Amino acid sequence: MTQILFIEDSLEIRENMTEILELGGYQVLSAANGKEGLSIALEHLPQVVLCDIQMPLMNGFEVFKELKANPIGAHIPFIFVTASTEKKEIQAAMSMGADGYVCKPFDVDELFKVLKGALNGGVKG
Amino acid sequence: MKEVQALESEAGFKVLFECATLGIVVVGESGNIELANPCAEKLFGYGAAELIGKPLETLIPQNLREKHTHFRNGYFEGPKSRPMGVGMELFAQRKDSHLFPVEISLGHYQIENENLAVAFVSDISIRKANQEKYQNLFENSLAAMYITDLVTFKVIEVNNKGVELFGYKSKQDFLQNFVPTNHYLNPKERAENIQALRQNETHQLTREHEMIKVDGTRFWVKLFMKLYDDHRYMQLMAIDISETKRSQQELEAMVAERTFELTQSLNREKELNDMKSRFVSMASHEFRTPLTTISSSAFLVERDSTPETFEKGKKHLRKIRSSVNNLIGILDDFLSLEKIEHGKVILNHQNFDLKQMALGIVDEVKVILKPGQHINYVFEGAREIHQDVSAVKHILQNLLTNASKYSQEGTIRLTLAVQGGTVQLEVSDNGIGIPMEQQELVFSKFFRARNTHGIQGTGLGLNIVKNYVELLKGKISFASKPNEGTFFFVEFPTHFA
Repeated sequence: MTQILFIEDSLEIRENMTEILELGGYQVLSAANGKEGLSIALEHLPQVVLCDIQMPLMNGFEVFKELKANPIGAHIPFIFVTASTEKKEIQAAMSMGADGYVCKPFDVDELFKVLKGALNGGVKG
Repeated sequence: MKEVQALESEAGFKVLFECATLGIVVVGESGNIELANPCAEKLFGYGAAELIGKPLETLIPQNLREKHTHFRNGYFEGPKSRPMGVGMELFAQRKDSHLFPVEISLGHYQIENENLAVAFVSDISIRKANQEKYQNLFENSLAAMYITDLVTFKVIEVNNKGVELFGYKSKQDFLQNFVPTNHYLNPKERAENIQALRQNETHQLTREHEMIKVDGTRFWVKLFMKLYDDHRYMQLMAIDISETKRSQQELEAMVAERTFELTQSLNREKELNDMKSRFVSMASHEFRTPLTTISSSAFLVERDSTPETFEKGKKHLRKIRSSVNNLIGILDDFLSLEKIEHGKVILNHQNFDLKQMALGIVDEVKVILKPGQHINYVFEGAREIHQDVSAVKHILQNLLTNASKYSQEGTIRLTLAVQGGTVQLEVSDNGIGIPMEQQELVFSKFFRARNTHGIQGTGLGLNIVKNYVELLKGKISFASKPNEGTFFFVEFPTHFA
């Protein structure tokens, strides 16, 4: 079963996203902040990481950089989930080499489309 | 030996007499000219020896001859060396009757008991003309000028402008009554000026003061001061700068007032901008997090509920989702507006299939149509255009959504015609229409028509549409009649130039 790691500081969104992803047939791991997310990613090596950007302790960009810099985790597709509609932030995320992004509040069909794209080799969302 | 000395002395005197550049005339007691040197002959316009034997009064202006005879006789009674006519302007008369100013010194000697008087005459025409020139320059100067004796503290010279500046009647009036400190608004300033003049290296000073005229009127002057003759005298030049000062003060007051107004409106503008920016960043981050929860919760509850137990609940859940979509729409409008107003919209021109794109929008809008509404979509012409696809989408979406929002059951017509490099887009409905008297306001920001009570909206949609149309270098117009319907017409180039 495809395993997804979702890193998000809002409990409600974390719970809902977990349920939605499970409905879509995925196995879900979740983390409440960047630091925790990074260690789970390196320990479980999920097939894809979905990660919020604005979080305490370690933000989404930092998680991305650390993961990509680690030879064990560098290959894992990475999708940003962002509450910002600023083109700058989205462009920054994509230029870093992310495999996709989802804007909050997201459309469930759109979410699955981006996920599938990332799993099939990085079709940008 | 004595003879030789006497000869030498005679020769010396002869040279002095012949070569002097001063006219020398010797007169006997009879009043006739005994001797005249070449310079005197030249001064008075006579030939060599022509003057000898002529009465001295030949050289005196006609009207003074009698008086002069009297003076001359008086001189021989007690002769001594002295200048002639001290304090008087003396004139002499040439052979051609021309009068010229002279300076004369008198001397005397005796030969063989005869008393002889000598007059030394110099022509002062040139000196006098120069003097007059400078006197005129001083008197008629545009600047007021004064010379003050710093020992007696009296003004000893003043020109016409100087008298006029302080409002005195005449030069005499001024010289008798002028007391400098009476004319300073702050009399201390004068003492300070003189002190500064004495102390500074150049002994020159320029100052601006407010002063008082004889009649009490206040005025502003610029003073240029200079000491000379070992600080004995002060030369002072004054220019009335009241007019300049007044306009300067007026200007300063105006500038201060304008600055105050500008600062105020700038602050207001800044406050508004801050508010807007705060709203935008708040909207972007704070709205979207709870919205994500609401949206995903609603999605999940809807998915989980079974038809038997949650049929009613499902209806409400759909309402929640639709409200969420509404909120997102409002948010997007605000964000679009912010971007448009700050010129942050970056157009991305690309080739796309207009017919297909519009069909997609029609399908999206069909979902939110009211019962009994349907869309009639007609496309004519070439399908591919080169424009910003999201702007075209936004325009189409907004016009179609409005058509549904502001009408009940009926047909919404969408016609797209591509013809001669132009896209013509028409959307019409048979809805409530726009009140005639409010039609000119339709594209204004935050405008809501009077007949839209109970219909949700921010009043931003058409403003944004108009902005997008203009970004596409197109035009938008409409026709509307209350309770009959509205027709929007948009035209823009197929290829962005």
